[in-house]
Amino acid sequence: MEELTYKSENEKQFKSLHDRYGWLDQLRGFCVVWLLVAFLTWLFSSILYLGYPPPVGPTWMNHGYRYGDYFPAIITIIDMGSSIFMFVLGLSAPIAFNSKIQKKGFGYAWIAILIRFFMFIWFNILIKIFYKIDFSAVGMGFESTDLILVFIWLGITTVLVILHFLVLKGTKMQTYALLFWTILSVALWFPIITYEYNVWTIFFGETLAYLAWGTILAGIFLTILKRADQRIWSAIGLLLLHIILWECAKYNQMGPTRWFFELFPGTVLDVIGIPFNIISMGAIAISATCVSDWLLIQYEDPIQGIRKRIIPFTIIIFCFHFLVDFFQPAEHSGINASLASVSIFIAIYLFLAHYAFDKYFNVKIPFLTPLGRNALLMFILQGIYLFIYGIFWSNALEFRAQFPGLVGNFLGICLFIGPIALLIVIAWILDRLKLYLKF
Amino acid sequence: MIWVKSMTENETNIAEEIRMDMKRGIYRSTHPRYDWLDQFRGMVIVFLVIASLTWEFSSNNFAVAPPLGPTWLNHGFKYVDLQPAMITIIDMGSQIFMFMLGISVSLSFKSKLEKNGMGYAWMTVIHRVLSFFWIGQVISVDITFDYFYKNTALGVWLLITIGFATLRNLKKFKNSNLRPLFGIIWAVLSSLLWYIQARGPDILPLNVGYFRAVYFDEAIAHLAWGTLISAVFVCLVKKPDFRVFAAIIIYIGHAIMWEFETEINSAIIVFWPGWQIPFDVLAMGAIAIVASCVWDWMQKDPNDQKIGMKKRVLPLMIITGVLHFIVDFFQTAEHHGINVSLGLLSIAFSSLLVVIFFSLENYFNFKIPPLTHIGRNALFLFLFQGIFTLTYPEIWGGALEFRTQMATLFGLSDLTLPLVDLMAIIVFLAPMLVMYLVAWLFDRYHIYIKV
Repeated sequence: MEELTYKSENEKQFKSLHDRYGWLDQLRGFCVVWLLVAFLTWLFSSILYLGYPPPVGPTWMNHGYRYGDYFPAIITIIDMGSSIFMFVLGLSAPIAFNSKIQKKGFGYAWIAILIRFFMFIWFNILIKIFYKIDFSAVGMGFESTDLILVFIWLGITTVLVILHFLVLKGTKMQTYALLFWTILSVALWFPIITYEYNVWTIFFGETLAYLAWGTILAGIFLTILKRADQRIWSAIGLLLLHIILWECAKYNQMGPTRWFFELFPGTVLDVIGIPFNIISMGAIAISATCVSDWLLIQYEDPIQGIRKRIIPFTIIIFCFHFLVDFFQPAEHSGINASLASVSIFIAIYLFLAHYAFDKYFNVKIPFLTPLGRNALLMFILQGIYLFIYGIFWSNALEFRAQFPGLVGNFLGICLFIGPIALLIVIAWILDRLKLYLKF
Repeated sequence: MIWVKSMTENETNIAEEIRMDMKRGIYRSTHPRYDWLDQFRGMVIVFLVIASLTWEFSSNNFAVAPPLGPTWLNHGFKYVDLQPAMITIIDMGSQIFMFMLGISVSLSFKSKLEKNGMGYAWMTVIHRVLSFFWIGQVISVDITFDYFYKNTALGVWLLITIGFATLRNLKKFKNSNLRPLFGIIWAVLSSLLWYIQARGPDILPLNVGYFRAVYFDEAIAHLAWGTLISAVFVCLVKKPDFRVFAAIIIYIGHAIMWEFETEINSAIIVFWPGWQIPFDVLAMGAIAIVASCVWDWMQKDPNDQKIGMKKRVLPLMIITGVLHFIVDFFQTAEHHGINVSLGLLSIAFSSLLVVIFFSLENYFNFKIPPLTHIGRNALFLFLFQGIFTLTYPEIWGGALEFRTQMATLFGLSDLTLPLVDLMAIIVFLAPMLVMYLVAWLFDRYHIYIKV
């Protein structure tokens, strides 16, 4: 009997705790491809109003402000990238959260959320450190104290890995150990970058931090408000709060994010300003959890939820964006209510399209599924591409000076398609081997 | 006869029912209505209205007076005119409209061919094409409301129009060959009279510049040519799997000519002064052909349109999307000339919209009610919104004038205060509400204006 229990526990380690949703993997894969394209168009941007040569890649697949930086900003689908990614994360949050509660309890579900939070923050730190590396300098630009911290981290990580295989595997302690390791990673790596980035930029002011906080907020509201019909009001409330704070801050000469400087001098808010992006990302994540729950209002007939809740919400959120944009035009640098609402609209639109492809037309774009199943790893790999490309070229001007005319166009295509093809191959191999990086 | 053979039993039964009804004096549409298509049409019209308003309230001075309405709902070049252009959904507006018309060509042409014969079907196409050219003529002149009583030619036109409208709607001529013939005569006379009005005493010799502008350069002329080209290919190449190659060949030719535009145009000018390669006509023709294929693919299995969607339309969407991405590296999408890149992107996007609206109705069982009313009178509302695009510029020249006027009216010191934005919302929403009301009333009384 004991053996059987142990076996089933072990199996759980290797397979997902909930059913896989084909459309969700497709949607994730779609996001990964677009994120890579966005990274590349960003790198190969050009300053057109100064008469520089044209950028490499379609203009509408780049951030609006990289095309022309004016106020109000021109908004492209790429400007909504991180918000859509937040929505996709939020979409799977209730599925994973409720499944974990059912199978392993409330505590485990929350530990999983905290692990994800600290992992995001740690990745944020790693990216900053990655760009700090100076190959020409002694010690690659690091100080001896930095190296000591890295060695401590390596030592503890090795011990935990050994413990995982010898003692922890298949036990509850494994989860606690993972949480401990993520917190430790943040604590040990953070001092390496403190002199360049303060605690607030790492924890509150970067895209990955927004994703981390969005996940936490989605978790909190999933716990407090079980019913999606009630929970959606918290997202609306957050957006309205955002509008009011943004409007108040607009007329402050210090600028929106520094508004609290004057209001609460000497407090924590004095330093960080209003965490506008966290509020809006929270609203996006909560909306996504509601969409996910509405889909399952009637488990046997998901169309009811789509008809009665999701599509009406999509129309309402578009009208909301259209009206709000008159007062607070969507911006790239700060995710205001207008950008957040249009992102929710586009994200739901994409979700519906992928859902219909999968469930109605029974169509799957083959390579998107493996990409989606390892979305996080693919996201990290993209960063490596960008780093390598960045060594050779920093913008379109440099690239076009090296490769003018048709040669440049051909090479441009290869530079875009090559990484995508390579990502697909890696994702396909990992999918074949059933290796998935998740947290 | 070929068409009759190719029809399914279900279609033949519907056609027979319609013929019997006509004998009993009951007239109805020659083909069944597709709600998702009306919804799609309605959405295109709503976006066209928004586009004409954001165009009107664009800004040249962002720092003093930002434009009104979301920037991504305006033409890219009205935001900032740089090269290569920024492409927004609005830049694809006329192409999406063409796609919609292309679907209608295949749908109604085949239906009319079956029920009323080749002559009738072609006359309705020619009527539509000539009417589009005439609308282009109307748009190209600066209309004022005193036109009709001050100008003899247009006074005559008004009388002729009333006469032909009455004739066309007499029960006696419904579904007879005379109905489209009246339409053609009316369209030819209208074009002639509006030409006389535009040229005044210099009617002869015919002005090449005027004809090129009206018949080739106007967005509405592109729609006319697209309709004609797609009808020709629907007639010549019955199978969509073959017909789509016509569009591919047009695009390959387009891409090559675009690359050697200067050389080819210099050669054309030698033989035909004042003329150049009609790039937009070619691009629109290709879009309309593809749209006609999309409709025919959906009829692959008339009992289950999903099959055609799955096997042809979805792959088309992905392939054109990828092709756009590649072509754009060489010939970046532009607003002023519809090149292959913009054409392909528009096809991909239109196909996606078709898939979405088709799924909304058939899978999700959902309709956005106002869109159906608007879509059923799409052409009329497209023309009706002209009232606002004519009236608004008389009052405001752009965002700066609007903001200044409103700030003065309310005694505000800043042009960007919320009260000004609130007025802007009203200025945007009012035309849409009026249009919806008109569409709803027309739909309620079953009044549909079509060409």
